[in-house]
Amino acid sequence: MPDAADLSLLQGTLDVLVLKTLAWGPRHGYGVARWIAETTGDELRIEEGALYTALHRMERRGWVESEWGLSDTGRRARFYQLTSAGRQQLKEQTQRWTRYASAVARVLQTA
Amino acid sequence: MALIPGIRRVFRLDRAVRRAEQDVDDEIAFHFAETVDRLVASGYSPERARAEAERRFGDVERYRAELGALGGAERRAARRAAWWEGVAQDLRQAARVLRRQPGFATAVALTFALGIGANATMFGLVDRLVLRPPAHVAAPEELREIGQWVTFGTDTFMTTGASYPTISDLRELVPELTHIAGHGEREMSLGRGAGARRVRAGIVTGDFFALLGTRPVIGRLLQPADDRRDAGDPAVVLGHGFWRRELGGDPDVIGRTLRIDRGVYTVVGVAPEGFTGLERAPADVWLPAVPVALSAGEPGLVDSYGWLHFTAVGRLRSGVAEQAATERATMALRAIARQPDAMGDSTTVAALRSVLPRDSISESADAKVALLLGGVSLLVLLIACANVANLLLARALRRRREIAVRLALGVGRGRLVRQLVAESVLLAALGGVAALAVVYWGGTLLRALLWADAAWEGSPVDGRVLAFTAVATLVTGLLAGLLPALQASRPALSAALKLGARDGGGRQSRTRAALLVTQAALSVVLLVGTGLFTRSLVAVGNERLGYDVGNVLVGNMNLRGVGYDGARIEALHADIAERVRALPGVAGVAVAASLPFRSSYATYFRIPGRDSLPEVDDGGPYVNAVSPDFLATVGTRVLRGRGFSEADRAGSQRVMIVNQSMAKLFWPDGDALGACVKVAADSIPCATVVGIVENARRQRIEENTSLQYMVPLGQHVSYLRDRVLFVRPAHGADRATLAAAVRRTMQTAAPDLPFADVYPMADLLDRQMRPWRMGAALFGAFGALALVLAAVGLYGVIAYSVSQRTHELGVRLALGARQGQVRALVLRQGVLLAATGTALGVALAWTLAPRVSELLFRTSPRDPAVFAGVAAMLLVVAVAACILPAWRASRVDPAVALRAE
Repeated sequence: MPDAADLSLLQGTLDVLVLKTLAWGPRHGYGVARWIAETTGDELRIEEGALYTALHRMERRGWVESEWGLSDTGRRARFYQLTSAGRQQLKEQTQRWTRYASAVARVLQTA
Repeated sequence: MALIPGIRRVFRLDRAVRRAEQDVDDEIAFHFAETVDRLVASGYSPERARAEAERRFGDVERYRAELGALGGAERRAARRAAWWEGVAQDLRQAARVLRRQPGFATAVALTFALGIGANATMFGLVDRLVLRPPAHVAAPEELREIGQWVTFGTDTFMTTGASYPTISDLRELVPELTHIAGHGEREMSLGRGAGARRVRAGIVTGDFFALLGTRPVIGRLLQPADDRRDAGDPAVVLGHGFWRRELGGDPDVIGRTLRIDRGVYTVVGVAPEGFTGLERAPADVWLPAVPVALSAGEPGLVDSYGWLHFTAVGRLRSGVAEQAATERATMALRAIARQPDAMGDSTTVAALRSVLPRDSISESADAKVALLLGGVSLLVLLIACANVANLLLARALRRRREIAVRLALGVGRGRLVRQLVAESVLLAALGGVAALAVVYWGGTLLRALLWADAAWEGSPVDGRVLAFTAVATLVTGLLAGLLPALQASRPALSAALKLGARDGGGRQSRTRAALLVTQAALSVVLLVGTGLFTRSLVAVGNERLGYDVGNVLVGNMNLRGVGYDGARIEALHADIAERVRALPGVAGVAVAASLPFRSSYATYFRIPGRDSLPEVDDGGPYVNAVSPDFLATVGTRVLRGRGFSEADRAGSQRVMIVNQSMAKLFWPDGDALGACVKVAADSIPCATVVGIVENARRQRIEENTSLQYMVPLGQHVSYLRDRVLFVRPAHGADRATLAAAVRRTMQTAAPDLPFADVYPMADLLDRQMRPWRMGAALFGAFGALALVLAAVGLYGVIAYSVSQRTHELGVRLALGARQGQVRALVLRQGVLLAATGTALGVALAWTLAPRVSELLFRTSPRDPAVFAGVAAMLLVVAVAACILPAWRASRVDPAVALRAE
């Protein structure tokens, strides 16, 4: 179980992960969870409920929009896709994350 | 159909909004279903798969609640957005529909514009007269005017006249009211000679501005230190409008001196814009009482308990009950009554009154009239709404099929009603914008024509009026559109969808008929009012007032304010009369002591040989001292005997002229001519009556039996000190230029003369004529409006009825009816409706008319000519409105009509 400290760090990154996932095309919530799990090789443990909270929050902010449809397993599912505002967010947050990561890396490399 | 995409979107949003909670559950369920499937496929047992899925998900209940909350907020936002989107959509749709029917849209928008505009104009008036508290006054609801109750016959009313010493005493004796101050008004002359101008001065006690809590825009306001005998340079505060107009808004105005009447005052500050003290109209300048009294040589203004020039006002201390203040004031007034000349006695009861205009409506005639007119305009607006509702209903019935289809496709009834109402709201909005033009012109016209003597500041269209217009527009649109929309959207599907359906039913046409009858009745009431007031106006115009008020100019100068005594005033006026006589365009000049409709005098009067004289209610007999050519100048006819001549002057035989009423009353059988009368004193030789003139008005237009007599100026009684100039312009002379020339002559006849007021004599009657003028003009405007609306409404109803009866009329024509008979049929329907409304209106007017009888002049409130005339007018208009539909009905081709259904 990821403990509290990990979760707070994750909240900001969760958004950018979800956005990036959706950049590859519309998915339902389960699909987003699977994609992140597979791409990170299950390294990142995300509480799946948090994913849905993130998705709904981003829909409120207008970064994604949702529509009900049929999954490939024949069940009724809610699909999410990026809006243009979401795409913009993704770009900005990716840049920020990259700068943050490289800054941290530089510090660590000096040791 | 263009409607379908809209409907689809409506469905989707509705569903999403309704099922948000269900959606959250579905979404989570889907996630679990997929997770469990995958785990089972990779070897878990179903129970362990389920447990693992729950573990990976996290606290399901918590997330469910979070998502629900998020969804709730989202739902609310979505619902609001959907609602606004729906409204915008409805309005766009409405605009599209209305654009296709420009004639209908214009007619309705115009109707709304007139109705809303009339109401907004009246609101602007009522707002200024009644609703607005005095500007720039702190907490005006705490202020109280201090007066006394006075019983006169059977009436008890409150008087507010108070003297300066009384106010000082009240200040000490009534601690429940703080800052007790006094304010009064006076017209004074600014400057002297050719450039002299009239100013309206507010004369106040020292703590007046402290009482009001007003803050100046420049400099300071008057203080108690200014209101003392040792005040140094007397101070004056300028009104904002005056400062702008006369001094160009110069910011360096402090320290400038102004010569007002006999005093020189130094400007110490400027009052804020819109400040009018506690009056309705702003004063030009504000002066402290004591310096004014000193410079005018009128110490009684601030010394005497009997000079009631001020109104006393105080502020109720917080926490004090009004009852306690009133009781204390009563005790104070009774104590003050013991002073010499003071008003009241040991039974005096004090009265406290709020200064807010809305609390003293019953005292202000203007406010009452404005409210009455506000009510009338509301009535007209209702008529307009009824009219539009009728039109919309007719139109909605024509769109029955389209509406039925929309209902069948599942558009909620509420949504449909909203769409229909959107059309009417849009029309109202168009009308509302046009209404602002109506308000601007109407307001300007009203002020100029009917209330020219009050000073109005600001445009007729101000913030409050705009707000009122916006609200009125919305309410009107909803009101006019709701009933038709509700009626039209009733799901009587099967009947409507069937081809060949007849008129939507007796219910709707009964409503429309009822609306129409109401309109006609209200029009009749308004038009009867018009007729009565117009007759009064005409009667006044035809009345012989005894003076040629339409022609004569009056010149008036307040010479006592600048220190002239009786002899100097007399001499000056004789000089002025000579100078004015020499001006071009002058046919006659006269000087007299009293001014008709304003001032009159009486003196000792005795007919030798008689013990007593008959008395009349009006009092009198009243005396006037006149120059020789007075009668010819003002146009009073000599009936018998002669007028005065140059020979009748000081020293020659004493003569007098009496008016007809006096001759008939005092010398009923004998001849008044030659009688000798003692005037002014027994010791003076009696004056012989040498002429009898027609009756002339003394004070009011209504009276005609005032006992009046005249003596020559040279033989006048010494206390008639004031003089008034009368000028008769030559035929064809321009009165305005002549008035200006007379004013200049008067102000420059001697050095240092004050302002001279020169105006047409007819202006003296303005205030008395106002009720009739106003009644005739406004009732006329509203009545005409109501009539037009009713006519349009009738046309609409009949035209629609004809269109519905095409089949029936075709049958009649086919069966051999003549075209004339068909026309008569349609006309009869319309005339019947109008006649019902007229009868109702006549009955209503008959009942209400006596209420206005005191406002009429020589016109009975139930004047048959007026009632008959209005009824006839309405029927003629009704016939005119129905002619076109009747003609169209008779042209129906029976073959086409029979085939079409």
